[in-house]
Amino acid sequence: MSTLIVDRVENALGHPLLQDSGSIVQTVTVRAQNRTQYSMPAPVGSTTGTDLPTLSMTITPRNSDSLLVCTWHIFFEADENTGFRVLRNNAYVTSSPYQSYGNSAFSNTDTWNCLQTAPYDNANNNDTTPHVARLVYMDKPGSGTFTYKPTVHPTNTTAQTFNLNRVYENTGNNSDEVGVSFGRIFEVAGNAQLNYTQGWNL
Amino acid sequence: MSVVRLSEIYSSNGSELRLPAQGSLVHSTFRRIDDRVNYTDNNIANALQVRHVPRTIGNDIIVEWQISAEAQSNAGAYIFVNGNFMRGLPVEGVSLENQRNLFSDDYGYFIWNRDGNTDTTPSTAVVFFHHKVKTLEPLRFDIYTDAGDIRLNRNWESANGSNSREINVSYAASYEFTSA
Repeated sequence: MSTLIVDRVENALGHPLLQDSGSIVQTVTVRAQNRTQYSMPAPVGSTTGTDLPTLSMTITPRNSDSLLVCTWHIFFEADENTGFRVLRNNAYVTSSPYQSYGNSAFSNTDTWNCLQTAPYDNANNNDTTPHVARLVYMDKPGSGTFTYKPTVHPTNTTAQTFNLNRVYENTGNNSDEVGVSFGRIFEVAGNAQLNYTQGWNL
Repeated sequence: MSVVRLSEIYSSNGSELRLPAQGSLVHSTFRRIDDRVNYTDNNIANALQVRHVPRTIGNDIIVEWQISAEAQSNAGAYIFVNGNFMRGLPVEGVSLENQRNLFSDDYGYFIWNRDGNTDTTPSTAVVFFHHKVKTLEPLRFDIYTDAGDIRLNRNWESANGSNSREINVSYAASYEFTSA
């Protein structure tokens, strides 16, 4: 085997072939099939909500300027007033534009400020029919090792339960579906995050 | 710094190493969308615009949106490419007006999720759109609202949120793959 070591490999147009902006440097995945009913105390206030530990993923970025794109497909049944956020190393990120909740004009003590919300389900029908939530969180943490984990919490002042990979009433029975959840992190090379106020991002 | 420019790479046994291989991801863009906007019927949802500068003619681009919104039950949407009203319609080569006549007044590329009411709970639409790269001109992918209003990243009743009235985050991405 011969090995050629260079700093950069380009195509004829001058675009780098290896780790071009927007290429995937590495991928981390997780599959969770535990059928667990988690309690969600309320109000969440300044706490971190209830984390879903089996959907945790740990990554050590190879480049300090990489964008991490975390995606979860979460099979669950929960009250419509349930919000999703993401922990980085067991804490919410509070710096814009990577905050672990919604709009930066509000804080994580505003329980309604989420990344994602559980859907409305036929007049608050919490019994036998699950949903799948798709949760995306992007971060640019720099160098180090980072663990990302989704959290759930009530978006009002009423304590609730969150049923992962199951429905409220059962852990598997006729009409009581059970399922599987997944997570994935893409480490994306270079300046892949769009910032339209600065014009085109190549 | 050393730079190597190659049109072909071969392994020691003479077989060609294709970099990138067919179907490889060669470029992607990502966007977090925090804007809380009320888009009325028949408007470009500017906050959801995706921009992508293609790498190679013939490549395939997949645009992906994950949109949190609360919408009126009849609200649908079309996809524009560089402001072109035709592309992204469900039936290629048929004008929007004719598609309306062929199918229904509410026929679109996708519809917003509905839950029977417009009040306090947003829902999420996941949308994929394919585009074949024909020129290397920069691309803008837009979502055009039709037949109803949508309230992006918010519930219907409150732009700032309150107990049980959630505000959320949307997300968009584009992926460019080498072609067969």
